[in-house]
Amino acid sequence: MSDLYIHPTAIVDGHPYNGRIGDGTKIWHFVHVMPDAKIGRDCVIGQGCFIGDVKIGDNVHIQNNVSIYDGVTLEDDVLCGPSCVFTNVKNPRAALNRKKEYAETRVLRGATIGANATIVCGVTIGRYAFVGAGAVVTRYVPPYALFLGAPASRVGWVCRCGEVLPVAAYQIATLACARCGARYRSGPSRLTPLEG
Amino acid sequence: MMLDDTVQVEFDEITAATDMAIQLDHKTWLPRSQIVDGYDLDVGDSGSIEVAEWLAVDKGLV
Repeated sequence: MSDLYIHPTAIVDGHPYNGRIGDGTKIWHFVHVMPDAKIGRDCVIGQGCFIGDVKIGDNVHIQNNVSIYDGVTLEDDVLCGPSCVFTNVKNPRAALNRKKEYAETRVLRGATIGANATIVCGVTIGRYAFVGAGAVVTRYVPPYALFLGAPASRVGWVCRCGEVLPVAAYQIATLACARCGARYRSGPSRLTPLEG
Repeated sequence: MMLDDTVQVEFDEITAATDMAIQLDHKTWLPRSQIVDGYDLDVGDSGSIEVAEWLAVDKGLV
């Protein structure tokens, strides 16, 4: 028996128990899931979310009041903070149908998007990147980057565990996370994890 | 462990450009927002760009 949980007030279009929503996933109050959405195992979809015909990986946590529109893909272990916003058309007009002009957005494994952040469509958010609360992302976000502001820019690096690393944004250094001890080499434009 | 989410894509020339996108070799349009440091590119540039790997695969660039 599946241990998928769907709150009685949620609307899941199509058949929820045909394998397209993984075991252990919890779908809370007033969520609307479209019929072609694919949701992985052990996800949490918070109150009031909308899930379009999108692909969501395993262990993804989507906090309250987030809409994941067509064209957005969330990989495993992504966290979407409360009320963060995704778009899927660059220049929408009510009078024009632009469904064939969706600009794809991908949030790669382990990334975090802070509360009330806005992700303007057509970007990639790299693995384990961290977008701060209220940021407006308009461009490619490198792996492990800490992006803040509107428009958002890189102000530092973040460990896989979520701790901000003690290094300036463009400094070249070898460093260790104060929280978990993971080691990295930072460069002007990227952070490289070191083995061991 | 995979270190990067990007790949290098080589091209002969940027043949068209807008504020939002560039065209490589009269064929493939890429949004600047998916290119690492894509906002400095202009028509006539040649060489290579670093782009999100999934997009390069989708566009048949790798």
